[in-house]
Amino acid sequence: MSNSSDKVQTLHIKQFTAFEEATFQFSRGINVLLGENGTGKTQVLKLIYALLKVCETSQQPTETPFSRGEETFFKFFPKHENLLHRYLTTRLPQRADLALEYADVRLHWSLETPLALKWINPNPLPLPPTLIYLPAQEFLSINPGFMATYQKRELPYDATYYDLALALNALPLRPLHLVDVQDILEELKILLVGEGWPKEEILTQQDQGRFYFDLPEGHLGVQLVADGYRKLGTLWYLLRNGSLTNESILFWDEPEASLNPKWMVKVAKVLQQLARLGMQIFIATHDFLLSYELSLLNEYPNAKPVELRFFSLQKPAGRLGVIVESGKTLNEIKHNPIVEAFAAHYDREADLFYATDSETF
Amino acid sequence: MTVKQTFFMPQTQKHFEESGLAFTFGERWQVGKLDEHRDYRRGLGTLEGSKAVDFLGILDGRELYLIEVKNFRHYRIENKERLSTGELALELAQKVRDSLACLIGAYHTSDEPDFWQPVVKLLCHQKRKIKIVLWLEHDLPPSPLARQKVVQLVSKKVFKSRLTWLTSQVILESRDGQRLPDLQVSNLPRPP
Repeated sequence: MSNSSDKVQTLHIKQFTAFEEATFQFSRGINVLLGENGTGKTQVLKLIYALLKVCETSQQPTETPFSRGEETFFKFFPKHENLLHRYLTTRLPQRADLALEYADVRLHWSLETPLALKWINPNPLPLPPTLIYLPAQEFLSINPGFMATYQKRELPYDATYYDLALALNALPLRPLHLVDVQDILEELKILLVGEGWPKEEILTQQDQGRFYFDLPEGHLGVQLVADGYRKLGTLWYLLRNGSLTNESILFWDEPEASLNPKWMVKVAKVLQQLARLGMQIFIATHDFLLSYELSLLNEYPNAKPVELRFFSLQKPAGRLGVIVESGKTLNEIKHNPIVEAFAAHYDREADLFYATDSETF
Repeated sequence: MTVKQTFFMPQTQKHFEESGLAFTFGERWQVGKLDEHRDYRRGLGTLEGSKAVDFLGILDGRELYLIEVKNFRHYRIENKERLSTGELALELAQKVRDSLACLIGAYHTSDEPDFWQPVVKLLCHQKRKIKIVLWLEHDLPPSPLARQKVVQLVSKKVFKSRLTWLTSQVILESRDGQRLPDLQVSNLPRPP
């Protein structure tokens, strides 16, 4: 049984994909990863998720629990030697090392060629809590029939999507069991339908995984509703059916995709509430508003601050791997690609403003 | 020397005090305080509600600048005009509007129209863009310059949106990261 105090504490990666060597010391609350494309933000989220799933599968009562757990890893990553970090000289190492500290237990694996994940310390493990991985694009519209299709067909989706479909499949909990998340459900409901909407259920699941929204505009299938509604509706439903609880770990890749900037401010507040509930959260983002709204939580902490940490991933030219910088606020991060892009835009406009007329014409 | 002779002569006064700040313009500038000029005070300034920008300047003899100064340092928060309501942007746009009216009116009614001629010539030159500068100082918590630029970037977009009828060349300046050339700005000592 997982304990609400069980959290992911550290991740250490050596010679895995874009990382030659990197260590992350996570907060118990919200962890925000920033970085340009290709710096490994999504890979880190998926790696933590995958390793926790390996722990979970390794505890199932089969003849070879640990080797079964090892195979689970490749449901989230392709079984290809490209998983090993490629040096500039194209020389491939024979082994990557992955270490995760979870609930004060240090877990260690190697990834070796021919490609296989091996436990280095197969000891009794804490059972991870419910894990939810929300991808950048909305999932509600492809949910119908997804699980059955995934089991039989080679779909271009990794197992995080299957797990999400499984989580969405559960029916809503009775209100008695929703006391802890009632405020957050209401916050999301107001965001989607405005104040005073009389219906409690704004999203329901009907035949074969098809979802329908009950909005002021009417009873609408997801195909008739904007992507942003589908994304936040997914979050609402996972809270509503108990898939997301105070013991869960939430992974959210690019929450900002399909959401307008005004909603990002509300999303930051919802994330704060989820963390305050006890949820550990990992986010990868490119969004200025979301990242800075979250940074304000630590820049102006209130009486009940949530734990929060930022990680900036960068791949400097000439370096062998991604380097990681971390801080409690964005002001502590020296390399912030979001701000750098905006500041460069500011400078370009100032150059145009101060260009003399002869240059302009 | 009278004000009329000193306004745009290159050798004349280049040091001004405005809103708790000291501005010292260099040799590249011809500059004066528009809202203190005689032709404004007895001209458009007599029309109720009119307001002009703080400085009118010509840089390198070829670029017309309207510069408004706002210093919110040490102000109580309730006295500050909030960016998000658009009050400050509207005020700036109205001052620019009235300043242009002042320049045209002064050219037509001044005793010395030749004095305003270089200004009006630039004003009416279709290929010469009029440049608007809001010099904005306020107390923000210390943060890296890049973040300050982002804040200024967003602010500038708000101001720009109210000035599209005239120009898109609107910029925010402050002592942090100043780019306005040939100008020194410093704080004046606060009164006890």
